[in-house]
Amino acid sequence: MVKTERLKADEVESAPGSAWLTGLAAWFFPGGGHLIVRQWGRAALMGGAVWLCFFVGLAMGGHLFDVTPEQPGLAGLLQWATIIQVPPTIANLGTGVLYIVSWIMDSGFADDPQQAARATYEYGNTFLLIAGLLNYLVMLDAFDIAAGRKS
Amino acid sequence: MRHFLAMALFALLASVVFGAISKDTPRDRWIYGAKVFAEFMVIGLVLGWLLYFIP
Repeated sequence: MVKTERLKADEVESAPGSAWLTGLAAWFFPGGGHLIVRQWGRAALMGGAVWLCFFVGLAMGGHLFDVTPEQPGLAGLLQWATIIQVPPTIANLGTGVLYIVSWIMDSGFADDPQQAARATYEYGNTFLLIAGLLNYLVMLDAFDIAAGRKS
Repeated sequence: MRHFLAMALFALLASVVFGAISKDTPRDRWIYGAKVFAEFMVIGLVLGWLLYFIP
């Protein structure tokens, strides 16, 4: 039984470098990975869903997370208030270029009480988080297609 | 109404991606996407009504 499983594991081919690049492109530009593997319909559907989710989230007044320690140094990084920011930041980072451009433009990161008081603030947060998480799924799909594991 | 539309849009976008990455044939993908969308909506409405009656 164990030997059979080992044989099966050996049969799994490692992914080519182009698949990793496609995955990277899919993360950086939502829908871009499927464009590279010429899956136009899926690129439009899945990339469009991620882009729309992100911009709807921003329009609703959602907040993008980043890890900014309140104190400098290791002590600041190990604070609970900092650690708790890591999971939503990872989710937001999934949107790739959308997150990076927003970060450069300092758009969506403000801790503004007026923005937080909006009825759609929490919805906006959820849309922004889900946009990133959906793009991770899209990225894995593009990687699998590029690696020949999926049609 | 705004809350319902937000939930419906969320369900639509998530089900589009779930449907597109799963299954092997386009027909199965459409069916799975529609099923996921329906599940999001029904569960959302049921939870909404449950929470409405909880003080």
